Amino acid sequence: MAADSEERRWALKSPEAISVRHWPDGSVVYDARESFTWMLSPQAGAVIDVLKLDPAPASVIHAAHPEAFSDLQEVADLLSNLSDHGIVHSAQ
Amino acid sequence: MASSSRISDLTDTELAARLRSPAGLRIRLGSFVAGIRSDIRPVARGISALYADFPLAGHDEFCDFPVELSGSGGIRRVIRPQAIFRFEGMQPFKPLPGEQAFAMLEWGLNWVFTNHAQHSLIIHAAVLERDGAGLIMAAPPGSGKSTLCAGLALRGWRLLSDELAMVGLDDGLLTPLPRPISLKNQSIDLVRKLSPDAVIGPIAYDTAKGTVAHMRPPRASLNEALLKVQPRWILFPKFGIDSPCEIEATGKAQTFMQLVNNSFNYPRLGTTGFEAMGRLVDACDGYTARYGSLDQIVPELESICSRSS
Repeated sequence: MAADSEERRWALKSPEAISVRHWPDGSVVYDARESFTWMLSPQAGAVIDVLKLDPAPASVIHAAHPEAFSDLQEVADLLSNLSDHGIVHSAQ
Repeated sequence: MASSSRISDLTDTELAARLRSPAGLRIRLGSFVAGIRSDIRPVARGISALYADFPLAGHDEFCDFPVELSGSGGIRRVIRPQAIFRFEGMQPFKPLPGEQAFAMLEWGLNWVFTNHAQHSLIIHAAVLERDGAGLIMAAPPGSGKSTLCAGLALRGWRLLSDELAMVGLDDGLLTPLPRPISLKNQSIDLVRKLSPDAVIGPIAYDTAKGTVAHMRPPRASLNEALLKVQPRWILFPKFGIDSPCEIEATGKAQTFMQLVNNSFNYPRLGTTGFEAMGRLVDACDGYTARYGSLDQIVPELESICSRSS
């Protein structure tokens, strides 16, 4: 993984408006600002959990939930995917 | 008359007089009081047949939901008369043919509870109770939910509602709202054959939902209409002609999303609704069921509920 993407920090658009619940078959996220509810994979739910606290790079997310991801690249790919859907954005 | 009296204690003349009075017929629907005003004869007949066991409320009690079913004026009084539903001056529906007036009262009351009952997360679902545990059957119209609900109620399950699951925002408990069970098309004869005890009210033909009739709720359910229930199971039923019976466990996240799709007021409740829905899902086992007949699904369902209660 390139150094710049390892250091890139990711953030939620409005973390204070996000509520999340986790279950084995997935996580359900509610965005109070958009009045929108959606279901994510357990891995994506783990990402939301970390970013709700503070913007963070993939390495911090991986370290917080090592059981959820096979490697750092999986976290980076997931963040990219969540970014494509407008759920997270680059904080830098 | 004492407030513990029931509709069946009124003569037809007294019932008609109360329906025409300014305060309307004050009737207890679970923990609510409705005031029903109507000068339409089929409405009185429907109430007499299907609300016979419901307790009357005193005239001095607060009326939560004053509703009115009136005939249209002018030439419509005599030629193809129509029924108009009103709630607090609002007319939420277009008039319907007069012979559909009782069905319109039921649909109107559903609308009133859905839009105006406070302090609850409201889900489009039939709700029953057995051994103190609540079964929520959530599904869109046409899924066989009400037929299954009637079948279970006739087997002794306590009916809380065939239309609305009202989940307390504070306590997470299910508030009973037992009312007549809505049956459509072939379900009417099917339920009639299930039990000689089933009382089916007036039949409305050619409605937007096809042929519609209602089944009187079991009296035992009305006697316990103030007892809230802890939810325990959530079922998403889907009837299909000749479908084999398949009941599968549903994950909680999936259950949550399906309930959101069947909820009336979840979007309005914001984060409070999200938290209430989450607590509900946590408290329950979720299942998806496909079935082709009540004979198939009822024993399967009762077996699951017995094992896990």
